[in-house]
Amino acid sequence: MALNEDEMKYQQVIASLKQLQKVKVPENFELELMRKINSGKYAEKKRSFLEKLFIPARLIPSAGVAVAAVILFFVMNTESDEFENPLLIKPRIREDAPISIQQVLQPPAAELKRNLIKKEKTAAADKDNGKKEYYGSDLNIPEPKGTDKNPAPKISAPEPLGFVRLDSINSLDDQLWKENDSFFSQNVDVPGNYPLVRGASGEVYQITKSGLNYRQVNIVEEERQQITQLKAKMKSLMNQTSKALKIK
Amino acid sequence: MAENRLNELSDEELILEFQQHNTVEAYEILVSRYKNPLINYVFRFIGDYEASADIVQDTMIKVYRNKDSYKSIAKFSTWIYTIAGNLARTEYQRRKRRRFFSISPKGEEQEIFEIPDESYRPDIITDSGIKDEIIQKALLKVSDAYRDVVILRDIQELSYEEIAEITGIAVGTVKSRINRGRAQLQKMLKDIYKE
Repeated sequence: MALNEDEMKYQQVIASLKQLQKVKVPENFELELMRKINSGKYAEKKRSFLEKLFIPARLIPSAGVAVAAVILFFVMNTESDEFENPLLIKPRIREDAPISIQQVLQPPAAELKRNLIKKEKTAAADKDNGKKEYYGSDLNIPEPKGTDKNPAPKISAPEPLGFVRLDSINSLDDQLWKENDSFFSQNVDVPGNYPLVRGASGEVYQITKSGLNYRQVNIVEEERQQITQLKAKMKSLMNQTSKALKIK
Repeated sequence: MAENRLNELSDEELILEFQQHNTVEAYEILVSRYKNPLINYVFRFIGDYEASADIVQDTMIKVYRNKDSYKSIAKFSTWIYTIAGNLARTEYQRRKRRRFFSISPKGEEQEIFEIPDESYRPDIITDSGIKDEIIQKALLKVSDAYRDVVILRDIQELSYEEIAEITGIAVGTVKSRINRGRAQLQKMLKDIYKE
């Protein structure tokens, strides 16, 4: 029913198509056909194995694969030589940005602030409790030696990279620090025999190799001898200085 | 006498005779039965008479060479229309590609209606030739998939089932494609129908 409706809808078109004149083959169609069949022109050719192998339809996909492989090889090859993982590159040593020891030893501002807040809170709590001792409280702030006269606790700065704080070094001769502002003596009896540094708030640190981003320099024998001579000279000067101080 | 007997045979019986006994007369009868319906179908599809004649010849040669590939489960008409349709579609696509890449200033229409033997030109025989030409041009503008089924149904007058077998699509799809093709044609030919 629906189909008839469709045919009714396109009635004119269907009628036009049916009325189209019928096309006929040329007069010599059959003769030509039989001639073609008998001539063997349309006989199927037998191809040799090599001919079959090099049929364009078979060559195109394999040629495509070959070209893709060559491109891939070049892409991978150029990348593999120069590719360097940025996460594995060693950091470059900056020699153009000097940093003072004072600056290194300065505790971070945030740390200081936090300690001050803690201190204030503890002081308020002490005031409330009355008898509770400040030192040895739950804040774990160690009581400094010989601080009877000065009950205020020292704010301990965190150890900077490459430094070890030495609490026992307080007994060192302060004279050394006075003469040379920043540090050190190899004569001082310190474990490891590394140079010493005094921080801003009076702590003493020992400089260690660990954590330092130092640079190793290979020197020739001649330079090494010069350095040894300089060291010996320096040592004798230091000995003389310490002797003179003892005599005084 | 033998030829008279063969003339009474159906298409399927003739091809069977040709397959089994290599009777060329049976083949010739098949050729005479299908040469005109096939050229009509192919010409309406590609619009070039000479090329259509070549395609029908190629179809007949394929039938001759590959007679053994025909199986009696299908109708002979379906088989031969399928061969002709495939060749016609291949030729049409080849021509379309050639037109696309061609740098010739020749237009599409000039190429399509090249028919050297004027005694067979369908567009100059009668007064209705002009109308035929307009319809043929409109038919060639219909989408390929729709044109094929419209020709088979409305010009060749085949059943929906036969068309479905020839084109290899479902009957429902055949019907919808025919209607869409007709709709496209009606839209293009609306000026003719107004007169």
